[in-house]
Amino acid sequence: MNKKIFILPLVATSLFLSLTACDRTPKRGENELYITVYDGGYGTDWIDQVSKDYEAKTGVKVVWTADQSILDRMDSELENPESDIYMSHDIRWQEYAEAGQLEVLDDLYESEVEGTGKTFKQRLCQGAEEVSKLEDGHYYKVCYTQGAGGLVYNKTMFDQNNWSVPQTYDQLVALCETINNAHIPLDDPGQYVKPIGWSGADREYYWDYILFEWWAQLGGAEAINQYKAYLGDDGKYSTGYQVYNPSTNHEEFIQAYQYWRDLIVANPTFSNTKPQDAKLFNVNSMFASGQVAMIPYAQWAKYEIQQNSGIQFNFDIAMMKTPKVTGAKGDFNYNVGFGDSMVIPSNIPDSSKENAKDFLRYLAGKEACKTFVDKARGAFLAFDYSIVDLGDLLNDTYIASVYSKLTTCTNVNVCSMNPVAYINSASIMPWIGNTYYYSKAFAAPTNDAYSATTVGNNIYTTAQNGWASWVRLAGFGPND
Amino acid sequence: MTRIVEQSNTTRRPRRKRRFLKASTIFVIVMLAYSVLHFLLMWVGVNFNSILLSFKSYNRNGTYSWLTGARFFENFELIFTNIGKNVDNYQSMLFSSLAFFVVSCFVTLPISLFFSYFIFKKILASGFFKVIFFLPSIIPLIILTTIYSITVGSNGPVGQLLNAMGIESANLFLTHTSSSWMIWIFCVWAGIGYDVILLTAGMSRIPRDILESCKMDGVPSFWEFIRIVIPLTWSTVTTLFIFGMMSVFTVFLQPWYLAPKVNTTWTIGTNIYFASKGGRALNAPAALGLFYSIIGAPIIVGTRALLNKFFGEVSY
Amino acid sequence: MASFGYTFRKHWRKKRDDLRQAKYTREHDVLFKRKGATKALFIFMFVILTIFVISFLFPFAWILMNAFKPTSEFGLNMMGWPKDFTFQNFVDAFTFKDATTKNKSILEMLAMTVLIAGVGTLVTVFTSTCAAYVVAKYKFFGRNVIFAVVIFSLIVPIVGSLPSQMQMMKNVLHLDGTVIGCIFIYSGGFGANFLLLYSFFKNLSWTYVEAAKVDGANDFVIFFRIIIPMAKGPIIAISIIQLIGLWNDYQTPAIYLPKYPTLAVGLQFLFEKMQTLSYPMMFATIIIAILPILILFAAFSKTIMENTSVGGLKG
Repeated sequence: MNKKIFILPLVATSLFLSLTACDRTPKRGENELYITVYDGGYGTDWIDQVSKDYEAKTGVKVVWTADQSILDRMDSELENPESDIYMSHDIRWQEYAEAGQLEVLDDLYESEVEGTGKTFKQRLCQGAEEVSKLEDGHYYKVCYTQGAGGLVYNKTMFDQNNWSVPQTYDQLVALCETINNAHIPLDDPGQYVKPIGWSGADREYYWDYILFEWWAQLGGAEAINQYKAYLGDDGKYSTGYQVYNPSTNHEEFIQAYQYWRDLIVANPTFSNTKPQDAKLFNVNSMFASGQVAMIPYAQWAKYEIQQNSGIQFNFDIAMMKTPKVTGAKGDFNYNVGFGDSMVIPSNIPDSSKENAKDFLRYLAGKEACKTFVDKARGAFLAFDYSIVDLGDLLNDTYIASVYSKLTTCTNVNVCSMNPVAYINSASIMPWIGNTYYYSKAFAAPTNDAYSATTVGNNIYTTAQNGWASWVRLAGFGPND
Repeated sequence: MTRIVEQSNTTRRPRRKRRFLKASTIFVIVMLAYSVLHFLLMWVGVNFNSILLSFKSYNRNGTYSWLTGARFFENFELIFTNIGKNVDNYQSMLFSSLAFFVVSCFVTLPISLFFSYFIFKKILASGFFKVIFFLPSIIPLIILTTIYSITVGSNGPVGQLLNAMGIESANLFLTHTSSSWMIWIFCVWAGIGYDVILLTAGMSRIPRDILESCKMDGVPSFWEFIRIVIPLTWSTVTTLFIFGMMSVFTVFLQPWYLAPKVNTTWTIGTNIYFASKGGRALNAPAALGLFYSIIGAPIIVGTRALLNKFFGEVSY
Repeated sequence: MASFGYTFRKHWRKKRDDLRQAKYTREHDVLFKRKGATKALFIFMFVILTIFVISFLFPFAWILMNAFKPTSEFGLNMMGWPKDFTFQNFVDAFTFKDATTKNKSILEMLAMTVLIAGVGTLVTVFTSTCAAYVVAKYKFFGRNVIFAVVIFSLIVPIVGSLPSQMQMMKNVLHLDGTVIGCIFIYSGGFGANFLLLYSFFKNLSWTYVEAAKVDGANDFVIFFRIIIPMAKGPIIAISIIQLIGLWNDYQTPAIYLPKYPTLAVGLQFLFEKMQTLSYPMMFATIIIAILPILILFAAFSKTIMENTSVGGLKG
């Protein structure tokens, strides 16, 4: 016993020492590039392929890691970076840039992208430039993807039943009725194809992608741009809550919510059974096995649904332009995830920085842009695709539909460069306080708490109450 | 200056004045050094730093600066404003947290006392019950909450039973009210075990002759429970009551595990945890913690003193 | 194998004797003889307690049963016995990992838990023993101050020192993101263990030490050769309770080791993903995760049950 007691601290100490010995920073070789990608709906096939192509072309070995915990560790990562490029959603890049933790990318933006005859800046897709630089005029990030959101539908099923893709909101309602009335039987006795499958348990916000487009249709791109400035009518930070006023600035948003209610809450039979309790996996399986005709989704639909449900599509799918509501000011596409970033930490050797910039420049080239679309099954990098020859990729109905949505609609996004908004990004968003109503409204169709009027007023009150605190957290005074 | 307390005079050896430090002084220093340093750093240092942090403001570039002049109490003013206007759920988190006081002290504890009495009185299979009551204390919380939510969820056995009774189990974790009830029920269900373990242990120390004389005098079970068992296990009851009060501040994972979408059910602990997790703007959660410590600590320490006086000195 | 059979039979015989004795006590001890209304009350409470216990055991039994069903069968046959009995879920559960689980399988999480909780327990029990022994048995300058401060720190509740602790770990100690950091947080000697060991040492007879002193043993030899063996019982009990506590700790590893999840942290990731893939696989994971604790509990149930009462009291 007593011997053991002597040994224990020894063992503990030696364990300690062996553990401290692990060096956390990789030894970077001259010709190596380390990349961490958030492992989400785009998968990792694309980074694998692009890395191989890049290595073949330049001789620089790309070591990539796919990681879902990267955001939790971003702070310590930037102090002691394991990677030369980080690609993820929700990187608080403005704050890191102000803290001097990100490499300034001005030279990258001015450099020419090989084989395109354009500078990196000119290669960006519309809207990307202004959300990549701070007030100081320097560039600190590169936008990751240009998203597209909307209703994804089973094109084969539509063709077989001669259902045409709805152009207007009324046609969408009528289509849902047609699908219900068609009573297309499923394997389970008594079950038939439902119009729409959606997950209220963990992905109710996928409805945003359609709702925001109705919002844009009703108010035009100006409404969205005015909203995301988060400034009061007097142009001040401190009165920014006014953008939530349901009778003026936020009116169209609330109208869009009403349209959603009229479609989904007023017609419970349009949805899968108990959508408020359905997990993403459940509805993905339903869609992939042809039990529902449509599903609200974003650009990563084709990759994620197949990967998540484990079912390979044996039919064609496509994303529709969101059917137009009455008085629509045009076709709009909501750039889902436009705030996603690719950043280079400042605390890495100069040679690594150059490699990292060169890799980003390579991404802007025609070859990588095409590979991304191919391997991510229909997602597009945030570069201009008009000079990229997608070739036979456009034979894929889904890729073609996303491409058409991106190129023929007016693109809008809700990325804000207002510090009040990005410092308080957990609270300040169209659904203020990160509070969604889709599931609750569906579960309690007659409850006035989830009616458009009440929700509009609630949002405004929450904004009014919280604004002073949020302005202060962003470092502004009460009269700024 | 160092000596062994219980050392008797007969065995005390003559002082060795030649040495600068006595051997036992070195021994004491070696034995205490690590713990004292750890305590200074991780308790004194951390709490001192908490106080400092709560008088600083966060700059967007990751640094902090001191609040001065009229802004000195800004972090605390913000807490008042936020509670007053329910900004970022400050009001609802206060109520959600306080609810755990009621649940732990006035639901779980009385039920546990009741259960413990019968187990202590060797009800049939009491040994088996005791073992089962241990389970929630040794199983990770995430497993308990997962099992609970699956069981009452629309796929689970209890959920299907609820559906048959006309309660839509799919909606249980959708709104604030129903989620809160589900969390409270969970906390009672999973919390009784812990209380029962401690209470039965406390009861087992009651001397046999007291119980025998009760039996002979024909004291009914109820009076035995109220007049004998509770006063004689009062120190355990007090401890559990204090634990119950502290649950207002310590419960933080249950609401998040059970109702991740309904953030109005989150407690002070949950909010501090998530506000800290990003590692940025730590001044706000630090001030929030300090604020509730200043309010909570005297109440809890005072209650403990009060409860300890309640039955006076019971010695047996 | 024979010796195992013997041990098992011996254990079983002992268990049976214990049960018989308990039954005898219940039936013949004057204290526990009941009749009339009291008996009815006890029967009623027996039913209540049984219902409560069933509410605990039933979900686990349901999960155990469903862990042996193929995923496809679970959807159709949730309440029935498995028709197509399979171990595949357990095989899958052992190896499953992906980005959601930080690319760690349950075995790797288990290893991390054993490392952190195990070393953490050893270190903190050791430091507590050292500190408690010295404070209980030696008189030195500052002894009363240390004791008073420790009691104060244990009584006064501090809310949310996490933000400040994170700063300390990151900016002062540079230990965030390391295994050592986690163990360091656990390693203090002045926790609840200190009080328990303090009262044990306080009541410890001093005769052996005096004898050893006469023989010329120094303080270190006395501590390691005499005191620790004498305190074996409470040290083991405290170690087990501490181990269970650290095994289930969420906050410290979640904050300081996001890349290397322990079981308490990683199970959440596993469940999150498996709920979207296969419930039976998740059930198998639950079974795998609680098995080590149940085995530990079964092996040491007596020690645990006798000491948790004391251990739990001083939180």
